[in-house]
Amino acid sequence: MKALSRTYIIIIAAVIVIAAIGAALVVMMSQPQATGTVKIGFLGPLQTEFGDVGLKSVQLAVEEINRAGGVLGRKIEIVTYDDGNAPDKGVSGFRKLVEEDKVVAVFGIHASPVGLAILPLIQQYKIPVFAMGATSDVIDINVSNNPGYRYWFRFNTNASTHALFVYYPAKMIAQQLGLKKFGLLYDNAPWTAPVVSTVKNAIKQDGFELVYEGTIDIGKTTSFVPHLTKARDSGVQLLLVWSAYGDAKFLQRDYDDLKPPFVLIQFDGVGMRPEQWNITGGKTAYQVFVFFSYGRGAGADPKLKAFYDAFKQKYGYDPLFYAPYIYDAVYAWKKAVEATGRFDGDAVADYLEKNGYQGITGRWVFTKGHSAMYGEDYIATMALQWLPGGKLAVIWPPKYADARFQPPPWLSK
Amino acid sequence: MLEVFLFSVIVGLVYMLMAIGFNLVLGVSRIVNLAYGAQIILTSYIASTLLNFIPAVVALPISVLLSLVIGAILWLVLWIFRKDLILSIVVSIAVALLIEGVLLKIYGARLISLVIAPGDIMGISAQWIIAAISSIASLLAFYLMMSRTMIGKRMAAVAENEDLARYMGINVRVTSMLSFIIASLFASIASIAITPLYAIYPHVGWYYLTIVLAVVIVGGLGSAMGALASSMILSFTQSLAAYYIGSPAKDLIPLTILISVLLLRPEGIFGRGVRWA
Amino acid sequence: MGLKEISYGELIPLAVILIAMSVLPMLGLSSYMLTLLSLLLLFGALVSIYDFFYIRSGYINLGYTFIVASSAFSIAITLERLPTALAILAAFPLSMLFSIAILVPMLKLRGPFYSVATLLYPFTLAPIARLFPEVFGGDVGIYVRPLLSSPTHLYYLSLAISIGVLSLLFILLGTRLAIKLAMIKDDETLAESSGIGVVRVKILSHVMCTLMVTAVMIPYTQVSGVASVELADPMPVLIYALMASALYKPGSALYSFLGGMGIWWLDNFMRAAMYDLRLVVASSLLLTIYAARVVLGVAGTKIRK
Repeated sequence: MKALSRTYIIIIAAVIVIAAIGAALVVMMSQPQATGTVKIGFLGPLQTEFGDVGLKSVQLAVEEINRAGGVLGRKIEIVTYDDGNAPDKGVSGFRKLVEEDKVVAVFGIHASPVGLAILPLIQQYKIPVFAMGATSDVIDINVSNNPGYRYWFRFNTNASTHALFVYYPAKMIAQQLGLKKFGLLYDNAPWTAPVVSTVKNAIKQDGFELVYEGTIDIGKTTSFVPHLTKARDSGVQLLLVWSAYGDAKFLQRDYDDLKPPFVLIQFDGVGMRPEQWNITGGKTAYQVFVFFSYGRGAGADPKLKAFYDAFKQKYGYDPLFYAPYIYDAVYAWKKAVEATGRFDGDAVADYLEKNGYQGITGRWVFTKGHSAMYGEDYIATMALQWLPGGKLAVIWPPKYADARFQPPPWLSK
Repeated sequence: MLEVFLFSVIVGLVYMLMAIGFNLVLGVSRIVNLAYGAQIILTSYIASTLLNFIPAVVALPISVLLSLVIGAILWLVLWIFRKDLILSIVVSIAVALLIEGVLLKIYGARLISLVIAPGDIMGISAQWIIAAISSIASLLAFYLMMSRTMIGKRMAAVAENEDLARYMGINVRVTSMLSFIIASLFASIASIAITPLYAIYPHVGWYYLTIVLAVVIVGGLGSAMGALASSMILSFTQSLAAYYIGSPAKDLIPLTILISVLLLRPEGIFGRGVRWA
Repeated sequence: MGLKEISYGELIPLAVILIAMSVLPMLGLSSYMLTLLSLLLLFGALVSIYDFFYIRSGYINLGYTFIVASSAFSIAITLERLPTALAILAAFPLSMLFSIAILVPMLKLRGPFYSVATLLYPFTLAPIARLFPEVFGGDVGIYVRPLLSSPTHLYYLSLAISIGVLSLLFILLGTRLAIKLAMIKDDETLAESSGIGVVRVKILSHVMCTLMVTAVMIPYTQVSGVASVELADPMPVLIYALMASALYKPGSALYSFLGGMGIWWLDNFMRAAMYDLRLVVASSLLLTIYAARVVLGVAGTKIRK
């Protein structure tokens, strides 16, 4: 009797499963395509801060565009999929967005594994993709080697360019103060390998001296006292930092506690935010941070400032990370679509390859691997210095700078 | 070099403070409470919200109290499922995900700031000093409780042999609940003392949990001395490697310790060598 | 749970489902649907394997995703370097090599301490991948060389492997191995003293588990296209596997398979439609089901007193 009732339950369960799948198929196939709208997809880690801020920026751009009449007279609708940074979810999500939701472009993509996994699908569907992250150089190599991947555009620079984010402002400070001895501290991760070799070459070329090199054990380094002490004992005058996983928060705190006699200039992927002062409890004074962009301060571009104001008004805080980059991406797509009168991948890719795009963060021109060109004429990051009291000053690049670098008082010790 | 030593001790104490409650519950109740990291982070969020409305002197005790209540509820849930190891583990994970999900829904994925003790004392930030002092105080309280009080002895008896303890008239259920509430107290102390030093966002509870697990695995189960020793071992190897070995190979050292302990002495350095059934 | 586990009452509905699934592609499904259904099947198989070897033996291996991810890497690594047939053959011993690390605590630890120790394994994969980027591709992962280009073929491969895994598990259910595992769960000391070579059983079941996972990961990595450390993240795979196998009657390959497919479907739905409630919905669902099981005393729940 027990076996009978069990069989019964299984049959019911099986019927339910099959019915659910069938029903879902019917619902999905019969979804009416609303006329007069066009759908774009957002694929990203929506439950993380990166994905959240990226989606908010895209939403802001889409609302503005819709208020102004849409793209080619059609209103834009956003469809999202949470890829959780995992390639298997990214593949499912990308296929769903393209096949079920019939999106004409996909934005987002934070993780390099997801970017790498969807490249073959991009080739298959010929859909333009605008990545905000996925900065691995491996993707550039793949895109430049395979003409079928040309619908991929990274609205960000690649990982090896991160060397210059930090090195350029450091060089300016070294020249300003007459310093020569550099130290490097970086994530013990593959992404920093090209960064470090680029920086070492630059240091050598410019006649500086490299006296210390240390690595960050990702997610496990809770005290940077040993690193900072070693750097101090090695005679470092400028310490350049690359940290992408949030470890640098401890570095900032320990630097403030120890006050070692060198300048700290850092790319801190997680710490490039106006709230960093509060998050560290006011322990970032005199430290230099690289920001992807910053729409505040006297030298800020009015259009960038307008984006910052609109974002803050809508969401209650200043945008961070690469928010303006992906915002630019939406407008770049709009421009390409309107210029060519077509939504298809080839039209958009042809246009962007040929013309680039002038956005609020600078001029987007793409390399052979479809990564953004970096420099003052293109997309330039900014270097900001925290001043006592929690004020942020832009010190680099010169065209946006609203202050000169102030050496920390303990430097002269 | 003195700084390196000093900070290694403080970081070690902090690791221990994180692990002590987890270890207690695992030892006494044999409950694998994988929601422990979520409990730590929950107190931080409660405190950060309350601090917007009321002064810290009131807000912090209230948030600790609330956390204890939540801890008691959590104990009840886990106790029901405890006889079935699979269920109790899955349920603790489910509770951790529920806490994370609710925090994500309410606060979003953004980092929040919780500043309890700004400023520094003699070049060491006040928060570090608070963390170190609370760790030492917790360790002392733990030691005194386990060695001097009836509750502690009951807990030790239950940890040693539950059935025997029951025959001797010890109320195992109450003892287990007490161990859980005390663990929740440690979690909320850790939360207030330590989370301002780390990042605060909903997912970070899992990160705390990995520290806790590493300490428990290296040190051995249920042993306070083991927890202290393994916290110090992990902290010192990290710092000394960072100072003396610049190369990326240094990052292998904590991992190597962890894996070699797992492979060679899986019961932990100070574990009692008892295989659990 | 009785010791005799084979129930033809379970086999018939399973056969119905699988036959239904084998004609699905003829309905003209989109390649997205085929991809999703492939993942559904493969995940169902992963859950069944987990359920048989770990839930049955009472060794709650929280490091299961370590085996999943290292198998994926094994396939990607061998496919990158060897011709297809050789690569697939070589992937099995390679993933065995990786998973030996997780076998050792199984031989020495028991109960909750075993679970806690294994939970750390998935977290060791990311640092290792970063240290040897030329092998593991670091944070990015490595491309898996495509073997089948058509989603329909991939779907049938997934279906075939799932059927293979399930059949194997059903056969195993009738062997003494299943009984031995259940006895180890009940009382390991007793099992040992009644002449069961506990160590041998553990090693054998570990080897079989790894080989089956590797087989499942062959089509899985074909679908995902990239093997990366994200596959070791316990959050979806392990948690859903535990959820699915414990949904109804732990230790039953069929329910685990169905549960796994259902949960993956739900997960995919929530990622698209309600991402901000995914964790809340999944965890509440889980807690409700367990509470209901305890209150109603449904079969398979082992709550004494």
